[in-house]
Order: sequence, then C-alpha cells, then structure tokens
Amino acid sequence: MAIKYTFAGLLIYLTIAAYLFAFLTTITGKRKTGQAVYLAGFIAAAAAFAYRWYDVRHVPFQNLFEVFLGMGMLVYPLSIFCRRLLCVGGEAADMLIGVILLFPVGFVFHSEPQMLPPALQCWLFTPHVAVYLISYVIMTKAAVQAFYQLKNKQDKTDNIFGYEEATYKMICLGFPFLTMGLILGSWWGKLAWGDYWGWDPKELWSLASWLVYVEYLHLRYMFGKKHSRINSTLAILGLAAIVVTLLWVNLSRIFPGLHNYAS
Amino acid sequence: MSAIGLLIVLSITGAFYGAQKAKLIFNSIPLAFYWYGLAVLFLAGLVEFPRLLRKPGLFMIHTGCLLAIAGSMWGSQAGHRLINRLFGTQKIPGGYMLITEGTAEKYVTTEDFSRRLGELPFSIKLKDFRLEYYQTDEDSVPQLYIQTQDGQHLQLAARAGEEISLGQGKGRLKVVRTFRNFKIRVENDKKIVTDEEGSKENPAVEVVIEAPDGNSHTRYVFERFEGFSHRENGLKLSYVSEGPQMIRDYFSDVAVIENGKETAGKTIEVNHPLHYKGYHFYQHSYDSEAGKYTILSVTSDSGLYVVYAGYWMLCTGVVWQFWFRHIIRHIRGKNKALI
Repeated sequence: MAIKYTFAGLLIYLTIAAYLFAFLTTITGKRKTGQAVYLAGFIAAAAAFAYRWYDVRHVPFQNLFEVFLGMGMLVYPLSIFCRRLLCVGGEAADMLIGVILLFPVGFVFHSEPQMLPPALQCWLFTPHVAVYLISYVIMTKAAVQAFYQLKNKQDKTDNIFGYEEATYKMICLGFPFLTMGLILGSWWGKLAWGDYWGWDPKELWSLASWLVYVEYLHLRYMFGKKHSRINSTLAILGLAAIVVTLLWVNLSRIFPGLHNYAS
Repeated sequence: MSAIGLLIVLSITGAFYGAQKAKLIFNSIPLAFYWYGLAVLFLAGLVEFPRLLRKPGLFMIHTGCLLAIAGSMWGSQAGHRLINRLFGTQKIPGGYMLITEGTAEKYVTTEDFSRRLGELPFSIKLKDFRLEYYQTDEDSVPQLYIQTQDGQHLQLAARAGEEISLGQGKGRLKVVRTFRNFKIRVENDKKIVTDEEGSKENPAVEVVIEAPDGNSHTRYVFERFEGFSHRENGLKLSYVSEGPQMIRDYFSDVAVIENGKETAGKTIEVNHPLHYKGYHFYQHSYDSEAGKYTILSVTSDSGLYVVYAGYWMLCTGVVWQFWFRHIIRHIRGKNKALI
C-alpha cells in the first residue's frame, strides 16, 4: 500500500470516490446525479494531473503512477465523446473503469517525482504516450462492449445499435491512435537509440496487441457480423495484450529492456 | 490472416527471450523467409483484391506495411551485403566508434571494440565531450559528517561560513572552504594549499575547530583519503563532495573531417544524432571516469526513408479509412437530409 498524504493524493482519492459514487447512482437509475458527480470526478482528476505536471515540471507520462492518472482523467471526455458523437453508451462501465484505473494510482504505485532521463527529453515523448493512453481507454471500452456481446446481455445502454456494432465502432476509433503510438515510438527509437525497432519486450507486446486488432479488422471486413463471437473474443484478447504491454513488462524484472525506466 | 496470427505468436514468443535474442530470432534465415513471404502476400493482396486498390485508405495501409517491410529488409545486415555485392559499394550497416578528445576516428568496430567492421570515407573528430547534470537540491550539497567523542553523529552542509556546535562545552566547527582538487605546493619553505584546476581528483574541505578555551585549529578533511582525517579532540570527520547526481544530457562536440578539411560539425546528444553521407551517429556511451572519450553508435541510413514513407502511408491510411471516410460520409448524409 502506498497511500499518498499529498494534495495530489487528496485529489486522486476524491476522484475515486466521485467515480464510484457516480457508478452507484447511475446503476440505481439516478442518471443525472451520476452525470454531475462523474463530471466533478473528472475535474478533480484533471486538477491532480495538472498539479502533478506543475510538480514534476514535465508532462507527467513517465511512470505507471502518472500514466494511470492520465488514463483516469481521459475516461470522462472519451466517455462523453463516444456517447454524443458515436452513440456508444456504457457510461456506468466507464465510471467503473475510472475507479479501476485510479485505484493503483491512489494505493499501489509510488509517486516520488523523477527527473527525465536523456532519452525521454524528446518532443515525441508526449504525443507517443498520449495517443497510446487514448487508444488504451477506447480499447477498454471496446472490450466492455465485446464482453456484453459474449454474455448475450440485453442492450440496456443507450447504444442505437447492438454491442457488436458498438465494439466495432470503438475499435475503429481507437485503432488509428494505437497505430500512431506504435509509429511515433518507432520514430522516437530511431532518434534516441539509432534503431526504429529494437525487438524490446515492450515493443514486441505492443506489436502483438496491434496485430490482434489487425486480425479483428480483417475478420470484420471479410465476414462482417457472421462470426460475431470470434470478433468479440479478439477485442477482449486485444485488451489482454494491452494490459500485458502496459503492466507486466514494466513491472516484471524478467524482461529487461529499453522501457524499464517506466517501472 | 494466418500470417498475422503467426506474427502475433512470434512477437509474444520473442518478448520472452529479451531484446538481444529476439533480434537474432527475427533476423534468422527462417524468419527472413517469413518476411519475404509477408511482403509477397502484401503484393499479391494488392493485385488479387481490387478493393484494396479502389479504397485509398486500404491501399495506403497495405502499401505502407509493404514499404516498411521492404525498407527494413534493405537496411538489414543481409540487405547491406546484397547491395554491396550488387553495386560494389562498401556501406557499413552499423557499429561503434570510440573517439578520444582531440583525435579523429574513421573505423567502425564491434561494441566491445575487438574487431573492425569497416572504414568510413571520412573521419569524426571529437572536439569536446561534456555532461550536464540536473540542478542539485539541498540534499546534494557537499556534506561534512562529524562523529563526536561521545558518539553523537552530526551533519553539516560543507559551504564556506557554515558552522555547528559540537555539544555543550565542546566548542564549534566552522567550514572555511572546499576544494575540488586539493594540492599542497611548497614556496620559500612555506606550504601553500591550492585548489588546482582540472578534474575533480582530490575533493577536500578545510574546517576550523574552535575549542571552548578560544584556541582554534585548521584541519583538512579528504573525501578519498579518509585515513588523513584527524581524530583530534575525539572528532571523526568525513566528507562527501556530492550526492547522487542525475545526468540531464551528454554532449559530444564533433567535426567531420574529409580530405583534410572540416566539412561539417555538430553537437551530438541523445535524440539529436549527426547525419552525414548516409550514416547517423548517436551518443551511445562515454568515459565515466575522466570524461576523455565518447562512444558513438553508427548506423547506415539505407532503407530508412522507405520505412518512414511506409509509416506515413500507414498512418495516413488508417486515419483516412477509420476516421475521415466516416466523417465525410456523415457530412454528406446530413447534407442530403437537408436537401
């Protein structure tokens, strides 16, 4: 347990509480209250992120504490964007995703500020991480929709279409971000280390996650909704590969590589 | 689709072996056949499925992947060997250069410098190598550690003018000055203490111990020669000139020498390599003891711009296919509805 007795910590705990309360009120039918509390949670998360930025004096994307805080903040705007523009709902699940993302930020990851090592002092650092974080949140939403589809749940969200279509829409939104993350990382690798591809474990896992979605998209283009359960399984496997890319490789000491500074 | 599935399995397997072994696996002969096969599949796909040619997004995605694979193959060790044999060139795929300050080097070697891999058509001269550290905080200021006669441990920032009480009735200790490189010269039979210019060879601190009776003694505490620290008055003194400092960046000021003339120059730092006549030079390592040499990694740029072109096509393709196409369709649909 790494409890944070700091101002940023207070804001993080406020966000967790707000997201959790918003989730409970939304599933009990008080949607408007849930929305208001969800927004309040986002404001607290954004304030924590901004404070962290000010505190460490660089964009806070360096370690798991900062990356998960960033994702916890992104949940709300992406949730609203998907509902309003793509008509993909699942906001209650998004609130819970926010809680799950911020729990390790508040209680597990250490928050000591770190200085940027030379390799991270590159203009590509921020866009590379930012597009990955956006894609990870979107792909998590896609996996939730896929999970509902596999469970044969009745569509209780405000999706105009079914869960399978919602999964596809989410992957169509997230895949370009995932591709940009991979390519920006490769370009940055060339600038910093001289190789656009270093066969580093994290690089290989990120390639594997990208390829799972490539497989999904090929299957979806070729057969449409004919094999919808396979489509949904691939969407969930894609998220599993993302989780491994994001967590396991960073936390594990088994796979030494270029990305171990992020642990 | 099975080719994609196979690459997923290979990527995950490679991740378990670590970067070095994975690099060998993915550059092995069986995998070389796989890459050729994949490139052929992309070409065949573009020919076989007219939809891939009709849809700009899909065309760019698949052509982008094809270019990235082709560029990587061109830039590989085997690609270099083939091009050198076909065109009679002598391009070196990559390697390392150790360059001492003030000297020029044109040989590219293996990482342990045991074997020469080739000779560049120009030399790289290292004018200067330097490090930049993050600004230190209060904890990183030189520190003087004091153990008093009664076993009390005290700590004092080793800055001129700082002083500390050694306990009631035990006097005071005052810092006079610090030295990066402490030396003693003898002039006219007089010992003169100086702080010599140059590297930080002998860090030390000069202190004055004021006894309660008003007498004072000057003492020198050496960081690297703790045995010289005086135990007078029962005091044990030790000096640490700097805390753990974090390097902010490495800089190698280099010049390119070709036909005896300086034709280019650059300060190479991490994320800012030198590019000259088909080669990139990166800051790789340095002389951590005395800072007298730098180690640059050298890579050929063969195939690099083909890979970059592939990246741009892939990126533009996915953005077009998954975002813009839908936005345009949505706008057109709205306009039709309005009409």
